[in-house]
Amino acid sequence: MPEEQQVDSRGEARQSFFAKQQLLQSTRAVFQQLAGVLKNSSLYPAAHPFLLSSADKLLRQINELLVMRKDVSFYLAGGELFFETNSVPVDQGLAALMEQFTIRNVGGLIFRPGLTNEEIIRFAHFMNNEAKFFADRAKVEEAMVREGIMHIEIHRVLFVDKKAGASIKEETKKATEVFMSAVDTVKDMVQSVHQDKAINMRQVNTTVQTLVDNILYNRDALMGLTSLKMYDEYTFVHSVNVAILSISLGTYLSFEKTQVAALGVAGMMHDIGKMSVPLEVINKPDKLTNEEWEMVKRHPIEGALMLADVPAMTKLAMVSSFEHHQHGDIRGYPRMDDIVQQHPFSQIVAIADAYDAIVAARVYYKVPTPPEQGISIMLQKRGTVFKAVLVKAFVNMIGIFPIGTVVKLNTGEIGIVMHQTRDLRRPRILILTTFDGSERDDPQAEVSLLETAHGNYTRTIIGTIEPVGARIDIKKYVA
Amino acid sequence: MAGPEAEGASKPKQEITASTRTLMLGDLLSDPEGYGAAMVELARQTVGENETVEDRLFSLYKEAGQQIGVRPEDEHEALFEGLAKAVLSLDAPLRNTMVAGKLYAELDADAVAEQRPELMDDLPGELHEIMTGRYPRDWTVQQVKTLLKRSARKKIDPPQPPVSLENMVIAPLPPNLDAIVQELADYTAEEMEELKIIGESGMESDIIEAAVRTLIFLMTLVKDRNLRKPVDKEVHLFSGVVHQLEEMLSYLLKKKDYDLASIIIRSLHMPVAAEFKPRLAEAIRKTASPKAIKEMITELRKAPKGSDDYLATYAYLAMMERQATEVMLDLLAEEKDRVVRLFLVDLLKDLGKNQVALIAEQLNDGRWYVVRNAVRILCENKSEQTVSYLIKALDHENLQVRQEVARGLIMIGGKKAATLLSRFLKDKNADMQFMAIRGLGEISGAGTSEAQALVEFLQDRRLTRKENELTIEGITILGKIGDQGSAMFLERYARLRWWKSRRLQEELRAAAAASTEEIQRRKGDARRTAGR
Repeated sequence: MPEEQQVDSRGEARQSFFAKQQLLQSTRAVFQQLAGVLKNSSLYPAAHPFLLSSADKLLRQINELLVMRKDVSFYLAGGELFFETNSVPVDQGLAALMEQFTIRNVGGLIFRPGLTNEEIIRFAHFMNNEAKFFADRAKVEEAMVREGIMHIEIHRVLFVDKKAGASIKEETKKATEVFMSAVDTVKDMVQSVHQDKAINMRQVNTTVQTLVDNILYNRDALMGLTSLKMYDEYTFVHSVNVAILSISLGTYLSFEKTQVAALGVAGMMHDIGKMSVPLEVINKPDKLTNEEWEMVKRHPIEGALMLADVPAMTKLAMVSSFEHHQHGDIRGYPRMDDIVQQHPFSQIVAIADAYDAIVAARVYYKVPTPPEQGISIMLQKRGTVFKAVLVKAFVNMIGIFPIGTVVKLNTGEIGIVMHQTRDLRRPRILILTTFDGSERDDPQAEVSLLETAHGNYTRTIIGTIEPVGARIDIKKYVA
Repeated sequence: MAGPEAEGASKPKQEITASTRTLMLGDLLSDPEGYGAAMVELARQTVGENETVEDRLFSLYKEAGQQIGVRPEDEHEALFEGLAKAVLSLDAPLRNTMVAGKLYAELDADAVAEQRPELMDDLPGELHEIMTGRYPRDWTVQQVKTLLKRSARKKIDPPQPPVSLENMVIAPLPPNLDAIVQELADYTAEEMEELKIIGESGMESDIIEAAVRTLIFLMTLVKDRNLRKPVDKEVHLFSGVVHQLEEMLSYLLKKKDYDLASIIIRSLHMPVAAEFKPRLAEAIRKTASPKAIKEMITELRKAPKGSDDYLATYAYLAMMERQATEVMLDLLAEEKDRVVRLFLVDLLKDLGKNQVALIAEQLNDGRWYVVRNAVRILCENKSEQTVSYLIKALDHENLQVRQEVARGLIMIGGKKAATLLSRFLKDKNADMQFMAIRGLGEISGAGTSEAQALVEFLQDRRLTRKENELTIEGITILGKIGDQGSAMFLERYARLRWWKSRRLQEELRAAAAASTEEIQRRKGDARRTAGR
């Protein structure tokens, strides 16, 4: 079982989700403290105890972060605050501070070892200069040297948003190719089983690895594709969607790459047992009898049996196939005498499976289930059908307004969600004007709902729009 | 049924137009494929601004179905069958779109509408499970015909123009959205701990454990009366499951994880259908290879007795009782190191206690030490059956074997063992006789017949310094097991012969007097006990 052996190597990533969450909390605290120092500096003289005390506290927090790194860097981009590569959750108070920075053409701050509290106070007073003072970068740098601010560096605003349009479009195109290739793999796999031939595990593994690589690089591009309407292909697409959603949750939770790949294979294979259901049952153009439904409900067993017979198949695919409907309650199946404790991977696959079913209900059957309502349904199942903490992580990953959600803004504009941010209510969206997909070519059309003006958010979601009913083809935007 | 062979079939274009399309119905009977091609052409010609060719084609088929509905009823079946054949004759992508993307979609949407309130109770629900199971694209004419019939009963939706911004339906946000977001924002310490544990899954240990658990479940689930799989298919699937278990077992043994290995071994002994039994028997045979057992015994020796490792390995070996006993007996026979031999004997006393017949076979071995070890192990099993086996070794030419038998008999005890033990009184070796005499004093179950055997032994004793010690021992033991008859026999020692050594006779007389007294005391005790 070489794949399992590889998986056991313990790397840094194993605990990085935990570490990352703690780091984000610390960095948010630093930024909040910085806001406090800046505010105090506008109210009190340099020697005032209030200012000294807040500068001391900030220095301690920065020094704590400096223990493991050579500098502490914050960047502002698209209304978001980043520490290293992580987006830091900000509230409206911090958003106002970020706006002040942006007005002063400050795109980021770097704190270096050797920093003192006097230097922090000098920097705070320095930032009280008028916005126009910061227009000339050379002058600013000179002034900082003159003030003795040697361990703080100011970055200019990064124009990542402005150049994003073309590259995002390119990435989306690439993601679509990867997605369709994965659908083809599922089709090939199904055909192999149908013809009693061996599943091409090399093809499956390569496909999943490509999905993993793409999700690690740009999770949003592939996640957006899971909400597309492809009814005639949905049987195959569903397996790919579950694989993508499972992989995405795995990467969100900072699983190791090999773990994530195993999760992807498990997601892709979870429903393979349905191949055993007789054609006259599965294609029956009418409601199934109880006996026929029992046959369908056997698919976890049949899938696991099939996968047990595939030599190079990861064991977790077999386990997940068997367990993905075992919810530890009477509705779970197959019914066993003993309660089956689902493996965490089976729980992840089950959540992805259920979420895709909610999306399908909305997309294919026009069941009026707004995205946030779908999320509410998932949240309601917490602790009963699904493990509560995994649902929470899943929702944090997918967002309250998942990618592809069409939203109405308080400005009267219509937009489509393109990316998640740290604030679940404030994703990045593409403002729709022509509704023909051409908005993607306009670099100004994608905006972050975290952006503020005069201390207030520029745009806020006030409702959602069902795209099929509104005849908005989201494929033009996410595929 | 139109299968893949219909793909790409090129048919001559039908002379049809939008205004004359109802005239085509008759062609359904004679040339459904031509009808199908003509419908596609018509769809392309008449596709509206706000619809796709597929949408248009679906509308045309609906319309055709409705036209059939107004024809005489006896024509319906044949015409719908022709219509189904027409659909199935389309090129694969279009056929898939029509059948999966339109006809089944309509069926599913109606089903959802019917069961709306329950839709989200089960996630994913029954309909989703069926829909995501329609992998095969081998639809029958009958299935498509049924779908077309039900579709024809529904009204044809005209193409919808784009919705203006003002007319878009806005679903307002739920009032508790902020509360939800707030709740989701941070992870509690408990949640972080849970996520940490989840993050540690997907490791070798939990994968193997989950896989073993699943495979054992599967062993009992291969058969299903509803699916009615051929027996050879079931045997194949069962064999696949067992093969996986075998692989995992050999991996676990390499990793020396005997806990999980024991579970696998136990599962191989589960009751299964008759046709699966040969495969299980094969697996059991494979799993108990001498090499594996030897390795486990080596492991067992390394682990401190009573430790977790020791107990796990022991439990695993115990599972393969017979095979393990065989291997251990072989090892024991060949082992040069005394310490190891003792370890093995100890182990066999426990593990082999239910393998009496197997160990008894060793009593025929030509090597005396093999026989002695077998006796030693057998005697741990304190049963009547063991005593029967020991008869074989009673007259073994090797003294150590006979001594082992005597020790064993004393340990086992009982009437049968005592009788056998008394046979050693006639042994040619004095040490053996001494051991038997002593043993008769210790063994439970020695009584009149054994006392009689001892009397016979004493009768033939000569009065010599060399023999006197053994004779005195015999007299002493007779006091312990003898009865009134024995007491009478002991009276002979009271008379001293002048021509024999006085000192030796007095030694015997003193011993006999003590024994007689002992017999009388026991007799009195027995009487008192009976009197109560």
